[in-house]
This record gives sequence, structure tokens and C-alpha cells, in this order.
Amino acid sequence: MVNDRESIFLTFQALRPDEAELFLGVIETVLPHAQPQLDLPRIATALVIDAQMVAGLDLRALVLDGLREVDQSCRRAHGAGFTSVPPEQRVEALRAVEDTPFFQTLIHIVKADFYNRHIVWRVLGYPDLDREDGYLDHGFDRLPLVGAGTAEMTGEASRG
Amino acid sequence: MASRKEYKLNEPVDVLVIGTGAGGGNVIRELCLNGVEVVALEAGPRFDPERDFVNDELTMFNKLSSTDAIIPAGDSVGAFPVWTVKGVGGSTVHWTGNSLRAREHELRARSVYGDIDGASLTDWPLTLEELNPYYEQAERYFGVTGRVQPLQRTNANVAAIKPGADKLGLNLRATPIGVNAHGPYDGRAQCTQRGHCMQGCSNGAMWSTLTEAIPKAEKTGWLDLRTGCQALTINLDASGRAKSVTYARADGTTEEQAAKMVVVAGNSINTPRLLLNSATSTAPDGLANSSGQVGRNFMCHVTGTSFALMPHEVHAYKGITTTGMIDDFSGNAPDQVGYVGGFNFVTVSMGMATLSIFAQPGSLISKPGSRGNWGTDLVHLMDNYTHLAGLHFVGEDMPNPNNGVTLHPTTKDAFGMPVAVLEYNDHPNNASMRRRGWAKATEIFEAAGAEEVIEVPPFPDTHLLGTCRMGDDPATSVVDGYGRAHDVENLFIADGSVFPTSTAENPSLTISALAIRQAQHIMSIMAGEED
Repeated sequence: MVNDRESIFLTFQALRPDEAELFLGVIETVLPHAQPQLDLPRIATALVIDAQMVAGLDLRALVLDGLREVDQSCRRAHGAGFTSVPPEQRVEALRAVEDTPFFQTLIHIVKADFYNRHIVWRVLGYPDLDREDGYLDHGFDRLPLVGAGTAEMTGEASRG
Repeated sequence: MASRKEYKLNEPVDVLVIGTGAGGGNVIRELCLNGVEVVALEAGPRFDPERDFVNDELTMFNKLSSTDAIIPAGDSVGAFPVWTVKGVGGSTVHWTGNSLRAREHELRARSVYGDIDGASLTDWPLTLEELNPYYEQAERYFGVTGRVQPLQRTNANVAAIKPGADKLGLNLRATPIGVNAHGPYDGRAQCTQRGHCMQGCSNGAMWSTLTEAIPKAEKTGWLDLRTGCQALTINLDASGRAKSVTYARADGTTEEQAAKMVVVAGNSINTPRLLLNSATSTAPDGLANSSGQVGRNFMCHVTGTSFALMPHEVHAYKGITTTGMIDDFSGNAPDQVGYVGGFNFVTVSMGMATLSIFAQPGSLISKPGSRGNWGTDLVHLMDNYTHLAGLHFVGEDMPNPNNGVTLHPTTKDAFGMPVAVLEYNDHPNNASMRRRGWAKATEIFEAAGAEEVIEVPPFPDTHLLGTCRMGDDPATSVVDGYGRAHDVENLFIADGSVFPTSTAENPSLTISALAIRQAQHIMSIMAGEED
């Protein structure tokens, strides 16, 4: 776990700390993986998009407008901002903007960045860098449950 | 390797080839091996597989994919309509290696299927028997398994699905592929079964013109390959013969290369775009377009994918991506299934980032109004990545004269060339076939013990077909059975645009066979053996 969230929010450049907190809260709701090892890559993904928004003014405007709408809808419905409401109300707030260009753009770039990280691959069971030499001698042609040598592929595979 | 040949712009080269993919690359190799001077124009860069190709689908997608503007139109063209490679090797760098011959009934689509409303079906101007010797030559170059190399061992994805196929009496077996599955072949290395190889094979085990045809042509010393050069117009002389090609270099400067013959292989979008942009006062509707067929009958394939959540680990990413296939649904049986033509299943897997996007694509890459997945649905899918098995179907598309490529009247690219407008509307036959494809995949998966099946909509198209259809009648087709333009006797087309109908098979092998046949025909003409 990353404990000092305030310092994380100060690391953002295109977003102010309060905007960064809201942004990261939205990303955590889009990617609600329970594995603690995935907290850091979620933050990394938020920072990558923040970096894109430093020069990408159109993207920044799209994201900021969308974040404000999400936050305000929470305040109207629940009397508290997005980061202060429980997870089910966060999901409800995002469902309300699901078909907007803001949200569809956001989830596209979030997924493209997050799921292309080695640590995410590793945690979800894809051995990536360990098998750059291929699987020719590593059980490509058999199922782990019925073939020999299954342990190498099963150690870290998680399942929801 | 011979030193790079450099021909002079104003001295007509024997043959100028535009494009270096399956069509262009095969023509270039055949001509150069026989001592023909060739200038090849390639709009994109030249990748170094060892240096540039990594085992990371999304990085490779961003590195390889053509991002040239295409304006989508019609009810079925997604926001990111096509998925092709702009670079030496073209889309043979982004393919599965599937090397299937077309089926006899598919080459006689009009005769076998009859008159289908809304479809401009026609028969091919050549038979499978005529094409087979060229298939054999292409298969030798590719090293196709089951033809010139033994069939490959299939992967865990196939093992997971096979019990279901067996229960249903379906023949799930190794796909004939252009991959060196057993050892080095033709100077290319053995496949390491690293998977995710649809977007660049780093050691050349999977055939491509980048690693086979172009290097062989270069070794002859007859090839002058010019990368970063986009053809703008094909120019005619007073007699109506092609005399030169004007092209833009990456820095925006233009040059004009004289040629005795011109072969266009830019794909089903850029070939008609070039012909239409080459309109003159004597060909006001575009070059080689007296039939009005240039740009018409764009086809892709009827595709869809299903992923199954299995009760056990699969690790489907290991090994050649589409290493297994089921062709029990490839026949034409409209009375039984309610549509004409057929489809083939292949096994499939995706990298994590690709899966997270394509499993439920949003409006950025799919249809307007489509909605990407997120939250618990997304996490459920991705947390089960190791337990997924996949099937993908590829079926015959119906040609529609109103589906196709036109030039946008005002929007132009960086070189002043009008941007292509691509219109595509789905045919009801396609919709029926797609429904059955998904339904059969679900049956197979459930018979194999799947806990859950996810239907995935079509990806952006890679199999670009039609728009310059071939035929015997100049009134209804653009080129003859050799790909020679009816209107311009020294102009040939060598890509998938010449397909009069799509067939159900992945097109690279057929494009290659046609290109080899065309190259031999060109040499016969040059030798004075034919007109």
C-alpha cells in the first residue's frame, strides 16, 4: 500500500491535488482490483495520464469537466463529493456518465496503460519477461492441470 | 547481399511496384529473382524485427499500425475502421500465419449461391485448379505446415477447447500456418512459441515479405526499395499507357519515377484511392475506371470472437496464437443455416491490454454508442486471464457495390492527397452468419465445461478485400484474372482489392498465389510470349 496519499496527489502536475485525488478515486473505481500489489500501478497509470494532460489541453479539459460533473452529481445525490462517498455510490455516479465521451475516453486510456504494465501482467498470471524465450520448452502444448511441469505457470495466477 | 540498386528517375525501370505487403512483396521477389529491374515504393518505414518487435501487443500496435486518416461512413464502420501495417512487409507483419486455400465453391460464388439481394456476387475469373500451382509455390515460400512442413503441435488453448469440439463431433485440429514450427526453414528461425505473435514475429519464424520476399529480392541486386515514399498519382502517356508514378517523400518533396510497367499493391483502401486520385481529362472518373467499379464492393470478413472462462487454468497466450482450427462450418448450406457461404473457427488469445479493450470495445474503436467495460465486470474478466480460452471465426462477407472507397472532397493528407472515405454497411447474410458463429462457439465452450462465455464484437478490419474486382468483362470489372487493368495495358493490381468475393479464408495466401501468378504473366509479356 502507498500510505502517504497526500504526497501522491502533490506529484501530479496537470491536476491540482484535490483534482488528482478525485481522478485517482475514479480510476480506482474503474479498476477495482483487490490485489494490494495493484495499488501502485493504478497510481502510475493516473500519473501517466496526468503527464499527457500537461501538454494535452483538450484531454485535460475533457477530463476536468467530466470529473467536475461526477463530483457534483455525488454532491447533489448524497451531499458529499465523490471521494467521500462509499464505493457503491461511486459506481452509481460513474454509471450516470458511462456513455459520455469523457468516460469512454478515460476508460480506454486507463485500460491501455494499466493492463500493459509488467507488474499487472505478473500479478494476474502472465509471466511476460520470464518467458521472452518462448514456451517451446515450457508447456505451451498442454494444460497445466493435466500436463507435467505445471507448477511454473500456476504460482502467481490470481482469480477473482 | 548485393549493394542497393539505385535506378534513375527519368530512365524507365522495368517494373515499379507500389507496396511491399503480400501482393507487392511476392511480385517483387518473383521479378527480381528473374532479373527484372524493380523500383518498390513503400509508404512506411522498414522495421528491424530483432530490434523493433517486442512481446507486447499494445506497444506493437502503436508501433506498426497505419494511422493514416480514413473517414468512416455507413452503418457498420467503427471509429477505428481498419487495422493494417504501414511499413515494409505491409500487413504480413501483422497476421496470424493462417494459410488456407480458398474453397472451390467460394470461387464460384454467384453460380453456387445464386442471386442474393443486396449482394453483387460474381464468379472469379479463374478456377481453383488454375490457382493451385501458385498456391503450392506460395506455400513453399511460407513454409506452410501440413503442406511443406509437418503440422505443428497445438497449444493449451486448443487442449482446453478440444473436449468440447470432440463431444460435438467437430474436428478441431492444427491450422495450416506459415510458421516454422519444427525448426529453421528457408533461412528463417524456428518458432519459440512465445505467443502474441500477430503483431510482429521477432525471429522471422512466421513468414512475412519483410523477412522472406524482400531480402531475397535485395540479394539479387535488382531491387531499388524506397521507404517513406507515398505514391500520389500514376501518370499516363499520350497512348494511355502508364509512364510514371509521382510520389512524395517523407519530407514532402515529390519525385516522378518512369516505368515500363506499374504494379499497385497498396491494399483495398489505398489502391483505389491512388487510382481515383490519378484521374485525368481522358479518365475523369479515375484511372482504370471505365467500368465505374474502382472503389466499389469493399469487403472484409464476417468475424467475431468468444472467450470462455474455464474452471481450470489454460494460459492460452502460450504458443502460436491461432494454432487450432475448426472448418466444419465452412461449407455452403443455406437451407440448413439460413445464410450462404461459411466460416472457419480458429483458436485465439490476446494480450492483457488488448483483451481489456477488445473484450468490450468502447466508442473510440468500435461503433458509435458502444460502451467499454469497467469496474467489477472488467476486473472479473482480467482476474481470470489465465483461465480464458478463445475462439475466433472468419467468414465470407457479401460484396455490396455501395460499400467502398471514395475520395473526400476537401480533406487531404500531409501531401495534399485526398483522404479516403470508407463506407461499409453490414449485409443481413453477415448478421446471420455472425449470430451462428457466436452460438456455435458457445456450444463448443459449454461442451468443454466453460463456466461463462463472453461474446466479443468484430475488431477493426485487417482483411481488406475488393474495390478493384477482377473479372473477364471490362464493363463490370477493373482487372482481368491476372490483375491486369482492362483500361491500361501496363498497369497491374496485386493486392486483395482484386478479390471479386471475399471467400472465408484469411487472404494472405491467396493474395500471394495471385501475385506470383501475376509476376510470371508480367515476365511472359516482357519476353514477348504474350500481349
